[in-house]
Amino acid sequence: MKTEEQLDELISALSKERSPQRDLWPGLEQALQNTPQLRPENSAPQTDKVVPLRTPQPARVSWARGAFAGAIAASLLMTAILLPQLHNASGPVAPARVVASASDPEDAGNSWLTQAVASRVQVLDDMLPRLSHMEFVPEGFGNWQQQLGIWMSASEQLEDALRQQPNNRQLQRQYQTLQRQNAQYLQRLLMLSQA
Amino acid sequence: MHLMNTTPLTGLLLAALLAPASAWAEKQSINVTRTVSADESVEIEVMRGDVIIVGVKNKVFHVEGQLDEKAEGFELESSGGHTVFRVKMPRRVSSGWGSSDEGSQLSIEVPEGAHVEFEGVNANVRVTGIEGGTEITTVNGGIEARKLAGPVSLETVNGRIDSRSNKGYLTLSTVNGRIIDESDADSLEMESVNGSVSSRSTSREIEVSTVNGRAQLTLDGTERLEFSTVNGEIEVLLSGSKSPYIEGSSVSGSIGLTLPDITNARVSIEASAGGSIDNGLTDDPVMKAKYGPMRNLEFIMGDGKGRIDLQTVSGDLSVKR
Repeated sequence: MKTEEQLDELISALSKERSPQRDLWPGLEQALQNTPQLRPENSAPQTDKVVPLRTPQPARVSWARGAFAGAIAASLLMTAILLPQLHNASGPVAPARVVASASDPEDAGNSWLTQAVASRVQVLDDMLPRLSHMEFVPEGFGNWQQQLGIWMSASEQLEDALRQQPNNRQLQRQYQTLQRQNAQYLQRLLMLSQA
Repeated sequence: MHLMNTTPLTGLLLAALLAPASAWAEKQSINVTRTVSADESVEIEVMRGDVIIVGVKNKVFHVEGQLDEKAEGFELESSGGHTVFRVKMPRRVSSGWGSSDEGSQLSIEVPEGAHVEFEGVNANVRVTGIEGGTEITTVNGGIEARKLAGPVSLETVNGRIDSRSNKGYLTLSTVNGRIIDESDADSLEMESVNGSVSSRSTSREIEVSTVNGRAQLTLDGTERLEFSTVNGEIEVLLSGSKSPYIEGSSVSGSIGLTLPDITNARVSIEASAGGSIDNGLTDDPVMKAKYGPMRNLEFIMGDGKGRIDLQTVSGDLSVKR
């Protein structure tokens, strides 16, 4: 049995700091953003909301997203069309237009991501009818909704990553690659379904 | 029944099948040859089946084998240095009526200096000996490529890519499949979403990206290496390079760099939120930010000519000799 003195020695030898087992900053950031700044005096007391701390998730294949698959398809297709406008001819990833208007590199990266995401959301309604009115699902594309779920999940992971590393040009390039792959897939799907 | 197409080179060759569709339960044979240029541009479209494409010394385009049992014939158009071969499929080839042994079984010869573009859906492709450039795209099928040169792009969604002895400018891309590469390309680019990537390469320039897939790279003499992953693990052994330029990033995936021959480099490694750094190259310590979880490591080896720049959010980074 250890004496109290020995225990004190062991305690004093312990590290004064303890690191979290996972990345807590995204969750803190989200919690801060969701925290109301002002609360009306007469309002009912609010229960503190538990904000789940985000950790990078593996690819999720969710059939529940099937209803949105057409919209996803549409957005990704257009993203692939619009994304090239964000980079100049000398390199595949430099967001030329954004860089020109943003002096802070981090702002430039954030703007790049905002535009990239917005460009696919923007056309969602336009493309949805095409996918929802496919005459038939061609052979080889029976799992197209699942496939879109995979791309969607990967895109979300990259978007999360780019929010944390907005100027990471490798991630930007990876994001573009994903949209291109997805766009090509969808183009073939639509082409064969209306052949 | 044996289909032999005899129309002129410049004409559209459509083997219109006069029999009703019900008569096409069996595969139809094909055996056609056209004389083409040594650097012919060739487009091939085969929706289903197994296709072998071989570069040969003769200036010919030759197709032999059996057409898809659902095929309505084929198109072969060849003029002005451009050849198009397409297996004609019915307007509706719906999902759900296919099995692995269905589809075309074709062997195609092209001049070794040709540039070949192939498109398929449920098609497995084996391609070899083409030096004028190759682009293979399929959706649910594997790609096996040997002894290619020029710009080479191999892309599948749900299939394995097996690339060996290829040169030139090589791009390998899959979503869920696996990439296996043993190449001597001038440059090598590999992209995967969920599939794993493994490469043994002497390419000077290499770029690798995955989202969740694992990458294992055994490299010799590579001068420029860029890689990124979100959740995947990346392991690199780079020998024969004294002053490499290496840039890598991950979100939560781990990165391990083994550099037995490195002598000159400016090294910058950063873990921004919870990741760890292990320095096995020098005795320089990892610095921890006074506030927040950031850690970083910076030092210069030799004359600092090379560059190692690694970033992670919450992954583990290690460098060693």
